[in-house]
Formats: sequence, structure tokens, C-alpha cells
Amino acid sequence: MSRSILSWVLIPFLTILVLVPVGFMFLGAFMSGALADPDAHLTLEKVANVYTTLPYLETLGSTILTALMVAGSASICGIGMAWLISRTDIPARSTLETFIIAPLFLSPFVGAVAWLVLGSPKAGLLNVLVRGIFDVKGTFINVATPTGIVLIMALYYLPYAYLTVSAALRNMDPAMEEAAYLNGSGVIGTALRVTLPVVRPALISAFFFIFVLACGTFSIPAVLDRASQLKFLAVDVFQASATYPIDYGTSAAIGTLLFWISVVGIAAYQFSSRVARRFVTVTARGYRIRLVPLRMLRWPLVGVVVVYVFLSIVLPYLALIWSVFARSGGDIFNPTWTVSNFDKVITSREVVGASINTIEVGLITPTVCIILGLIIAFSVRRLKIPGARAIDYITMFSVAVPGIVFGTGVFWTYVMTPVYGTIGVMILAFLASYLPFAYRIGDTALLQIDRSLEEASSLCGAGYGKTLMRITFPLARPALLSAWIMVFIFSIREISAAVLLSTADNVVLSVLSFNYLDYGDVPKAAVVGLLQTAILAIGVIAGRFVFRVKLSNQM
Amino acid sequence: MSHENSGLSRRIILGAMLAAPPFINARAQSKPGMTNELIQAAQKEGVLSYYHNSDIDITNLWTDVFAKRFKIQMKNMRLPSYPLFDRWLNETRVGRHLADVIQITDPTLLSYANKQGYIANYIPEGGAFIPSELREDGIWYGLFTNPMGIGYNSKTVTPDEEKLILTGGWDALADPRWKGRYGTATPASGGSSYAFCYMFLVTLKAKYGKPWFSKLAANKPDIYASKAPLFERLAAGEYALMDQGSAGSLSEYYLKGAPIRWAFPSPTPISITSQSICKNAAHPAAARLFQEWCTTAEAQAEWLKHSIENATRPEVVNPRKAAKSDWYKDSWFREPTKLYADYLKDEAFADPKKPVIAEWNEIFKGLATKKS
Repeated sequence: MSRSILSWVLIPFLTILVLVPVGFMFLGAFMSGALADPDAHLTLEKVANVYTTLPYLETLGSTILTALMVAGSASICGIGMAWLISRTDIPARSTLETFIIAPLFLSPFVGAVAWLVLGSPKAGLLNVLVRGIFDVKGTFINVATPTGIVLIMALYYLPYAYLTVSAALRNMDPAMEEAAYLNGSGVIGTALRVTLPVVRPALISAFFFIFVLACGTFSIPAVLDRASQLKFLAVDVFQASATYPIDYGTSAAIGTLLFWISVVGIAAYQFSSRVARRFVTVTARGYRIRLVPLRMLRWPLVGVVVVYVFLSIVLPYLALIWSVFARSGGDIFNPTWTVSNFDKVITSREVVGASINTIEVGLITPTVCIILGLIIAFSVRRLKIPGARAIDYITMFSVAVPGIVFGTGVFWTYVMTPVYGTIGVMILAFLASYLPFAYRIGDTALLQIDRSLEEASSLCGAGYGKTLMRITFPLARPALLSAWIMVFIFSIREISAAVLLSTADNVVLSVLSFNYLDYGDVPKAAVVGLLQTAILAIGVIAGRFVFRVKLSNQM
Repeated sequence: MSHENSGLSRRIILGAMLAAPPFINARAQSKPGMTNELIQAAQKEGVLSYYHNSDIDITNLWTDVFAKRFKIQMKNMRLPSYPLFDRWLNETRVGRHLADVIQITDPTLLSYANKQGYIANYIPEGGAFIPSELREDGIWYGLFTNPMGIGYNSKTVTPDEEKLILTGGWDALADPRWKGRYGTATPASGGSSYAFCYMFLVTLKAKYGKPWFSKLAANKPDIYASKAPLFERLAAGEYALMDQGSAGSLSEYYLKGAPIRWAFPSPTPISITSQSICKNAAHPAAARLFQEWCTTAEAQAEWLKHSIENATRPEVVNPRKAAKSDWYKDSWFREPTKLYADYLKDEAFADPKKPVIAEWNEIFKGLATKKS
């Protein structure tokens, strides 16, 4: 296939996959009603209203502030844990690392449901426990406050910061730290004056990545914000398209506002990623990292990690199990148990169908995503096909579009095609959303492969396709498998776009869980959440032990 | 195609239709009832796509009976009333006819869709047995009604407070003792919530209206964008009480063992689960057969095996009521004395702009609605 043909295939394909849905979002913002409404007309009213009036500007400020606080807390804790695991003699490092990234397997939405059960001001299990044990009155923990919401979001975004920073730490030549120690610098001095500056670009990149994710998150504030204290754009996008009178124009206009914030965040992320790559010192010579002895702090610091694991994993799962098996409105000190919720849900055809759909989406999306990501990376990086720069931009574009906004655009893109109403539309939406991850990891993997190997293949008469399959793909395999697992996790958990695209034939577990919760059925939502986690765990364990994929090596 | 209101009032249209059933009959269908022809045609189609806003699992159990009896595969999709209606409207407008039958709790929207030309005119044989105020012949049929009262958690209220709820009428909600202990839903959340607020702000404006709602707002309730999660929080003990308490949902929690009780002050608004056949349904015969089945006493009784909503066919008796079981045997339980469904005859209620939402929002301003 000639290089220009590849361009002619990739550019239109990516345009339909990524740009057309975003275009529909912008068009929707300038319409008075739904795009299909024959009475709808072009207007600036919605955009003007959203961009210039106080309620929306207040929400914009609140969203930015919240996302900054989430990104800040997750990044600070993430770098601390990354340093502990990568640079100290903390015990059981491998096990602790697995636990630190374990929240990735719990959908933030399901996590929020669990925390609602745990930390509601009056009926929250933790409050009831404290009141009962200590015979006191009052509220001791309240997740339905802005602080509570920020902390819960930070809990679930911390693994991203950890993975990014720990990868940078692993790639960093410890000789620089050794030099600092030899020159008399202490542990803290070395960490602050050598380690931190070297990993700072990675940290900044993690910060902005989490900032963008947090801006687009609607499930956690939507579930927890019981007292309406936190104004959040992503929730407004959803509410405008879910409560009467349904206002697609305003929903899309808020979506565009969210888009611009994300664009700024992504620009900062990409800039720091580039700088991070420039700074990271990957060398060919072997080295052994000198681990900082923690001495008497070893076990207290293990305790800190254990507290995090307890809050992000153990307590939420206990709450989910409680919701599933305890009778509604039961007393935590004298519970009565039932298996009826579990029995009803696990045998319902809705759940069986949604599980099959989820597995299909979870297998097809990452597979297509990785293949496409590698083809694009190979075309842009190695073949330098015409329009390579445009392809690079289009591929990365969807990172700036939150799922809740992108879902509406995908709806209008495909509603008139046969793919709408099938799992195909879910796969296309997820493919567009997660292609940037696959592309970026593929691109990084290509950077690490010596070009001469591919040139040798070409000299031996192999075409581009054969070289890609026989040389590049096998060498990039570990990175691509990691990317596969990452996209697999995202695809199984995705809820924002999925809610807007689901029909009778393509319901996935995340949507079913959302529907159960929407109907107020927390126990059934919890069963589905547990099922979702089981699928994620099987996928990740299979990746780890069958394909020897370690997520923490490739971020 | 014109999508403007033709200028005819809903009442005139209704009246005209009631006065001329043979005309509609002749135009829309050859023969009502579950005829062999219809069953065979439906079975040939083999599938029925059902958009609904009821409980997912109860609807599955109910439609499974239809599926087994007629050997037709059911594809059910649930969303809350308004998003479901809007999704269906958008699909229909672009020519994607994924739904064969649509069920929501705001029948006026189905009337609106009919004016747009998106509803198939069909009169099922059982339709005549449904009271006339709960149907618009050929357009939509009310299948179940759900009275809405004050739901409360018996563990979080004192005996005095319980007495106030049971005997104080709607004014009990305005008592300042509920400050911070009370949950409600925006009228934008769905047809039943809208009907509830409409009763107080429009129909009973003189007695309740804005001053009464202002007292409710002064209690600073938590406001839900969808009513359903509120029941779960009430059962968990997060709130002492809620308004718009649909008997169907409250009784589900009662049956699960939650400390949930309820009172029906008078007049008691009801929501109507109503259903229409989509004009360009991909499975028109299956849709008609389903509408026929849903309006039979057999299907309505089947629904009552799983839910406690009331059937619209008067002869279908709630089996729990007949056996005086569950809450029917409890001393606190009182049947509603006067049901309110008059809103369906009111032109203003059918206004698709739903002006009551803006009025309600103004009263509850500052208590923003942002909950799932």
C-alpha cells in the first residue's frame, strides 16, 4: 500500500470516528432544539447564555477548582506512593503496588455508589457504626459535600498519578541520586533536589491528565452530590439532556465549555509529556537502584498505603457486599441477610445479555484500538505519510472531549446508520475515546525500537505491512499488551457515553448498573458492580499471568 | 409535515374522538382483539421492542408472560420517562423506528407525539374497559395508576410525628420540624412528579399554591433529579419523609423489610402508566398484539403479582387487598379517599413547555437540582 493511499484511508476514517461527533456537539450548541427537531433553528442564544451568564460561569469556576483540587491531591499522594515503592525498602513492594493500582478495577461510578452507602450523613454505615459504638449523636463523615466529593474522586484517580510517576522513576538513572548521596545530601534533600526535578515533567503531565479526567467526570458528583453543594459542568451536561424540558442546545453549549477547559488541560499535558520524554534518562547500561532505608518508618508507611487501600477498595467492596446481602433498611448491629437480590440479578436475562455485551465490547475495543493505534503510529512516525501531522492531531483530539459530551455527538453521527442500536456503536464510541492511549503508547514503543531493524527488513524485500507484522509488532508487543489491558479496563468501566448510546440490544453492565441506581435499586446496582469488577479482574489477571503484562511498566 | 399545534384544544380532540369511534376504528384497524390473524402476523414478526420506564425486573417478568404465551421475543429498554420519550422522539424523527411500543407516565406527551404523526391509531378490545379519563382512544391507554402520598421512615419519626403525617393532610409536609429531614424531586424529573406539583400549583392554587410550596422550600429539602433514588435513601434512613411517594415504589421497600410507611392525604394525585403503539413500528402486528394483551384483565392481574400499582380495569382486584395481607392488615394503612387525575383534562397540563417546572424552580431557587 503506498503511503498516500494510507493517508487517504486514515484521514477520512479518523474524521468520521473523531471529528464528526465533535462537530455535531458544536452544531448542537448553536441549535434551539434537538438536531432532529424540525422546529429547531440556528441560534446563538444557548452559547451566549452558557458563556456569559453567572450561573454557568460560577459552575465553570467551581468545576476548574474541583478538578484542580482532585488533580492536586491525587498527584501528591500518587508521587509519594510511587517514591515509596520505587525508591525505598518498604516491605512487600510488589503486593503494595498491586493494591495501589487496584482501584482501577472498580468503576468510579460503582465506587461512588459504595461511598454513598458508607458516608451519607444520616444513614451512612460509618456514621451509624460510630454513633452505635460510641453512643454519640451527629454526623462524622459526609461524602455528600464538596470536600467529600473531591476526596472520593482523588481516591479513584490516584492510580493514574502513581503509574505515570512510577514509570518515570523506574526509567530514571539512579546514578544522579547516588551522586547526590556521595556529595552529602540526605534522603529528603536528594528526593527534593534531584528526584523530584527529574520526575517533575511526569508529575505535571499526570496532574493535567487527572485534571482533564476529573473535569469530564459526571458519575461521582451526580451520585454523591445530595445537597447540591457542588456545581459541576459534566453533571449539568447530563442533567440538561435528562430532565424536562430536555435542552440539547444548552447541554451541547456546556459541553463546548468543558471542551475548551479540556483542550487547555491536554495542551499542558502534552507539553509536559514531551518535556518528560526529553528529561527521562534511559540508558543502555545496567544499574541497581539504591533503596532508601526507611528504618523505623517502614511499617508506619506501610500503614499509610494500607489506609489508602482500605478506603479505596476494602471499605467500598464491603459496602457493596452489605448492599447486596443485607435486607433493605436493616440494622448494621443486627443485620438480617438475604440472597434474593443476588439470585434475582445474576439470573436475570438483562444481566446475562449485558454481561455478554460487556465482554464483547471489552475484547473487541482494545484489540481494534491497539491495531489501529500501532498502524497510525507506524504511519506517522516511521512512514511519515502525507498529512501525518493532521493524523496525529485528529487521533489525539478525543482526549479533550469528555465521554458525556462525546456520547451525544456519537449518537447524532450514527443514529441514522445500521450500526446504531448495536454494540458496534459502543465500540466506535469507545474506540474514538481511547485511541489516543493506544496511539501514544504505540508511538512511545516505536521510539524505543531501533529503526535499523525495520530498515534491515525493508532491505530484505519486506513491504511495510510485513515489516510491521514481523518486526515492529513483536518488538512493541509488551507495550501494546499493556495498552490493551488499559483500554480493556476503560471499556468495561465506561459509563458516560454508554448511557447515551444504549438501546435494548447493546446494554452493557455499566449502563445496567446506572439504570438500577436510577430506579433507586442500590442492591442490584451493587451486584452488577461486583460482576463488572469480576470481569475486569479476570481480564487483568489473565494479562498479568498469561501475557506477563505489568501495567506499571508502560505508562 | 406540520408540527405546530393545530389550534384544536385537547379537550375538543378528545371529545371528537369519543364521539366518533367508528371512524377511527374503520381507519386504523380492521378488527380489534387478539384474533388468530393478528397472533399469526405477530408471531411471523417474532420480536417486539418495548421502550418503558417501569421497574426493569418487574417489567421483564411481566413481558416474559406475553413472550411465552405468544412466542414472541421481547426486547425491553428502560429509561426515565422524559429522556425515554425524547430518545424515542429523536429516533423517530430521523426515521429510526427502533421502538414498537412506548410506555411513559406522562400521557400528554403521547398526545403531543400523536399530533406530530408518530403514534399509530389502534383501539384494543380491552380499551373500552378502561375508564375514559385514563385513555385517549386509539392513541394511548393507561395500564396502571399509582397514587402518590407522603412516604416516611418509621424508624426516624417519633409517634407524634407519625400521627401528624397520618392525620395532618398535605399541610403536614409544611411543618418546620422536617427541616433537613426531607427529600423531594423536581417536577422536571418525570410525569408523576410533574402531576404532583401541578396539582398544588395549578389545580389547588387557591388552597396551596406558591405559599405552601414556599413553606416546603423553607424546610430545605434535598432535591432529586429523578424520584426513584429517593425511595432507597428514605428506606436507608437518610430522610424522615418524602413527598410524591408513589405507592408502588414505597411498597416494594416495605416488602423488602424496610421500615417504610405511607399516608395518602386527600386529594391523592395519581400517575398513569400509559402506553402507545409507534406509528412506524418495525413490528406492527406484535405491537398491536401486545397492546391488546396489556389491556386485558389477565395481563393487568399478572402485573399486580409483582407490583402494587392499581390496574386501570376496575374489575382487576389487587390480590393483597383481597387477602388483606401485607400493609392492608397494618393499623397505620389507609386507602386514599379521593384520587386526583383531573389534570389530564386540563389543557395547561398538556403544554409541552411544562411551565410548572419554571414556577417550581423559582420557589426552590437556591436549592439547585443536581442529583441522579
